[in-house]
Amino acid sequence: MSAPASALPRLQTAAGATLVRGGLAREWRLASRTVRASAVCLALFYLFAALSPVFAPYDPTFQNREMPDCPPMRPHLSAPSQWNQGLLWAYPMRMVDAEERTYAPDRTRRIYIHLLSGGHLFTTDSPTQPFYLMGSDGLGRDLFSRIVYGARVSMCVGLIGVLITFSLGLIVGALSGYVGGMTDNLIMRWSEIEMSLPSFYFLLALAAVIPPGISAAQRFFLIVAIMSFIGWAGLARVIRGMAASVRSLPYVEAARALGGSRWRIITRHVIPSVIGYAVVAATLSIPGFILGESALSLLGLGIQEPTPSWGNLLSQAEDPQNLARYPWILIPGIFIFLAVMSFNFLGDHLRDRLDPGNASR
Amino acid sequence: MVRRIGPIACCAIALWCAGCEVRRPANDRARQQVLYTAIVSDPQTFNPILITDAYSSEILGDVFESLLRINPVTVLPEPGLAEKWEIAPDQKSITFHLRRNVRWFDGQPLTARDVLFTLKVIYDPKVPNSLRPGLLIDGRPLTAQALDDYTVVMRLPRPFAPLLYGMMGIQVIPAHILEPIWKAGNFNHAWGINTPPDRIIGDGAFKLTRYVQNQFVRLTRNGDYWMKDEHGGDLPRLHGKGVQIIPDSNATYLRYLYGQIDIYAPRAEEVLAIREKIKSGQLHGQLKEIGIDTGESFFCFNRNPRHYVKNGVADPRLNWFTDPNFLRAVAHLIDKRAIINLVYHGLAVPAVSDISPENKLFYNPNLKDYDYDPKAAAEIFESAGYHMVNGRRTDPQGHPIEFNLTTATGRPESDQICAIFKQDLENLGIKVNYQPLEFTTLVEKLDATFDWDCVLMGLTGTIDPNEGSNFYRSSGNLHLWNPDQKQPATPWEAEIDHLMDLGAAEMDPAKRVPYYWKIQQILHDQLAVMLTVRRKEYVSWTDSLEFYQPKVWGTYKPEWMQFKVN
Amino acid sequence: MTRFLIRRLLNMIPLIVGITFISFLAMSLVPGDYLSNLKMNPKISPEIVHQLQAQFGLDKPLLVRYAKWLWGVLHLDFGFSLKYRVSVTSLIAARAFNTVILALASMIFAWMLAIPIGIVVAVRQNSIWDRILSFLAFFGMSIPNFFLAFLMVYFAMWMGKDWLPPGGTFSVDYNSLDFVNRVADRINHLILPVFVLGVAGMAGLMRLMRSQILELKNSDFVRTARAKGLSERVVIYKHVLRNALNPFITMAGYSLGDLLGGAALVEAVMNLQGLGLLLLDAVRSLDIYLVMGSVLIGTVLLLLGNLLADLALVAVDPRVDFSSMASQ
Repeated sequence: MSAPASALPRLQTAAGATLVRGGLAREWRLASRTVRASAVCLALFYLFAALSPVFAPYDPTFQNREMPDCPPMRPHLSAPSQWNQGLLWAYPMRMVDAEERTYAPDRTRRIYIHLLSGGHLFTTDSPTQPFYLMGSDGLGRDLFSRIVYGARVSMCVGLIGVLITFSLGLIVGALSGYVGGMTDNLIMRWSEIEMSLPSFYFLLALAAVIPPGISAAQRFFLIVAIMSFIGWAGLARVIRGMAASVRSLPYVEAARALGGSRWRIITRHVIPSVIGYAVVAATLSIPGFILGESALSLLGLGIQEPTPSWGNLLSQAEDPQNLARYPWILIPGIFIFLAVMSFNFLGDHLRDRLDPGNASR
Repeated sequence: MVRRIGPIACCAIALWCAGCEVRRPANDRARQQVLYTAIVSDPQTFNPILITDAYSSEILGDVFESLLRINPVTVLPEPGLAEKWEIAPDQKSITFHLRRNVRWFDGQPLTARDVLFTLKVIYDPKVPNSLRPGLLIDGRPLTAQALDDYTVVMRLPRPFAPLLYGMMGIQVIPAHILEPIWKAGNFNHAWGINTPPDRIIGDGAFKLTRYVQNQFVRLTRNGDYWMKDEHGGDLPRLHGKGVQIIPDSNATYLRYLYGQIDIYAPRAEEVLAIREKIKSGQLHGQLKEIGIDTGESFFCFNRNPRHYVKNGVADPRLNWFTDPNFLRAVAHLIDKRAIINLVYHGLAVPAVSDISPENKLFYNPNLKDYDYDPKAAAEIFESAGYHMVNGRRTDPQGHPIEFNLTTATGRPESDQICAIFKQDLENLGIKVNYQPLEFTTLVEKLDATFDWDCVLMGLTGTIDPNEGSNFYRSSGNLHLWNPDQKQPATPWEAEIDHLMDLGAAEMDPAKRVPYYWKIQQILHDQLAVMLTVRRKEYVSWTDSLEFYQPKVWGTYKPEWMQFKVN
Repeated sequence: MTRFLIRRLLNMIPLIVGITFISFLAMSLVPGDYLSNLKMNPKISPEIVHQLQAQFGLDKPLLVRYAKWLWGVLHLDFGFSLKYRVSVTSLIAARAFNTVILALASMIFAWMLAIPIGIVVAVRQNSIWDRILSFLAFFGMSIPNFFLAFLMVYFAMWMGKDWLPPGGTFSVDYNSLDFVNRVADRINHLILPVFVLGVAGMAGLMRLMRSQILELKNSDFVRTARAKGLSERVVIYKHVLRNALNPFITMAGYSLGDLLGGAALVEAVMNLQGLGLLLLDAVRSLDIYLVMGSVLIGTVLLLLGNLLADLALVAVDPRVDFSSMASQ
């Protein structure tokens, strides 16, 4: 989490400095195994998002209409003599029954999997002779490619959402807590209204008014914006409480006595003193965004087909028939789960590191 | 104590997990003769005149009767409350002879007075009901007169064939109960769903006995029902019906598998599962393909100048969507085989005509389908001046082709069909923005703001095409591509309007057929709607149910149904 | 205390008006109304839709409709549902029973397990049990509840019909059962949803309990208690535990607001006839008075819950008094 710290270069608190001074290497040594695993997991998912075309073997929207709901295939290691054809190979799947959608491996032939070829990490000669690492969906699209591309939506929704909530909550909360009086009162009443709104339904109502004809990216940002709009109030209230207590600390009073302007005191003293908490709160609120997006997309109100997101990939599982016959369509749920868990571990760890006084919480 | 908590907690969990065994009263269907079925949503009213939803009509269909009913096998009218009817030679009046042995649940006989009252209420402008438009002939009401207590004559301003089918949907209500309420001006609030069920006085095979919101409707046999079987035995044979309200179709399916309901119409994937389970002996039931979908599902392009022409300048999209070449090319891009295989597991057939083949009276079998052929589509585009420029298909004026595609949310099938369609269009360089909408939002766009380009829609089918007037006629509000026109915008729309007039004015069904065949031909040629596929319809029911004959248009001889008596 | 109460209650009024107005506004932003659903029915002419719109007062401007609704609420008339054609209160009351049972059961499930486990792992900090259970807690907190619901439905289907029902609130023949069997049937249908909904809460509570105890274990008053020569057991159960439970009292109050519609997605996946599903459906079909009624009740419960939590906190924690509360 050194990124937000560098965004605020004048950050001078003990908590923030620990991270910056210590460096990532030291952090890595200090972290437990679970935290390391989480960091690796998240790094991988963000790599998926950043380099989707490389990680995905196929175009995520390519429909192989001959192979719907194909089960995952098992890769085999080639004999060294065949390494020129491909290090790995798999048996191609043949549809046995079109109605039932049952497949059997065709043991007479082999599909060779080329590593690092054609700009992909791994792929096969043609998408019509595919290797489905995680199976295919109901339209014959490669589930793994869709998951890789889906990471773009699902992993970014948290980051961008948190960026918005974080800045809003931090500024509004610090202002409100430090200035106090009428401003404080108004902001707090407003935040109470926002917090008491039935957020999920509100989200639904707002998602329904998003105009069509906008691009998938625009729609994505609108959804994040709506979620952030609903989510900032809670953070702002806590920051406000902390800022209000900072106000009466001797060093802040000293700064005021020395004639520091209000804005300067807020940015130099109030915000830095609460940033540790805010970083932790932000990390722990990312899962909320990821889950919010999945829930909306699952209900068909979030990211729309054919753009994949981990949420809308799961919507095929809403039908217990599909669930029972093609259990691999639940795999995107595992990715959601891993991402959420990693953020929880990481947030927990950050809390211990940034706020040692509160270590056990 | 710390140590004790662990085991205690474990015991608690174990107890919890073991669950409770529910001792059910022996579920002897043969003895009870109660049929359990399911509907998706609560009924909205128990007043047959005010029905606007499918669920109320499903329930009240058993409680109230119409003058005529449909024979689901021949698709022709057959006697209901009227034991026979005669059409006068000038085709302008129909005489209905009522059965003399029909009694309301409170013992009062059903007479011509009830029929006249029912018509009077339907024509009352203060009573919002969906029956009135079907009974207006060129905007004029028909006049009805009682010759005696059991004979009603209806006089029409001109011959009007759809009346017979219209009569099937009009359930007669008891005048002796509802007339005072109507006169007091309270008809719109009479027989709402809060009414105690025993106050709903009908004349059908079943009485309403209990309704618990969100849970079930209970119907009990009407012992005094007029219909008898071949041997003079009492009908209906079932002693009652329990209609469960289950909003989720997956849940309905599971309940069928668990034997909690007796009849279920499975979706494609479920058909396969049920077939397997019957084969392996896990499920004791029947599975039958009863026919194909009577409705239609289609892509439709907006041709409404009210949306596309702003300040005298037409949006290029209007040009594309009214260009026969563009439409023909697009029609060749609908991969019906992929839709059938991928979306419906092979359990569907390509739809060619706007009227379903199940409508044996009016279906036109002579239309030639637009085959899926991307190459032919590309050639049509090229020859009509839609060339590829920088990887995008552009129209002759140089506008890149791009449009919005929408449908109602909540149906995974629609999502998949749209994804297939979108892919094929994009392969030819046409950009499609897909955005499903909540149904209410979608309807506002189709009906009021006209702010849409292409939609995937489904409409239910009717036997008499005249009941689809709202859709066929250029003045109709369901004439999706350009609704509520004052004057038909194109010659072919004018021709359809004219054919609709002719078809309705002819009483002999055989003579009506050519008009409706021609309408189907025009819609097919002009591609006002591009049909997708029609599902094969299946019904599965429990083995112990006998004499159950489901058809796509309804159950044949439903009164004969019963559970096997051992 | 009376002054505090009156102040808080008065404070609630603008809040409630604000929240309901914003919800009303959001619902009205969506084009169309409930009756749009009828327009695609070939048998229903536009005139009938207009007639019905007038009958239900949907043709009036936004502010007039809101004022009318608010006026009705002041007379305890919450309007009626356009979809079900009955009063909103009766509809909500019918569903609330199911939801309250489910929410209470999952709360009890979570609390009954979380508190003892939290104590055990805190007392044996860093033991193998602590590690395993803490990891499981993260697992429970992180698994999306709709995903867990999917898994449970899958599992129940895989187990077949002799095991637990994969969905629904009760069996179809519920009404033909006697009282004892009705209760048993309900419990059978509750087990999986309670598990799904309880897991996340349980994990969170367990972690809270653990951290509370760990924090208090080293505080001054505990050290004093130990110095007095009390046994560790007495110290933990008498001194630490009593204080550690304070935040739970607050949480119980706050979770009152979540009772209504807190689990719409799980209800949707498992087909539970609860308020969440009712409200979800109402929002989607624009059944506006039903939405407003639910929002109002939800808001009032949330605010009352917060108030109760604060009152309870004053009662159990001598360090907190009304003057400090009022300034919050």
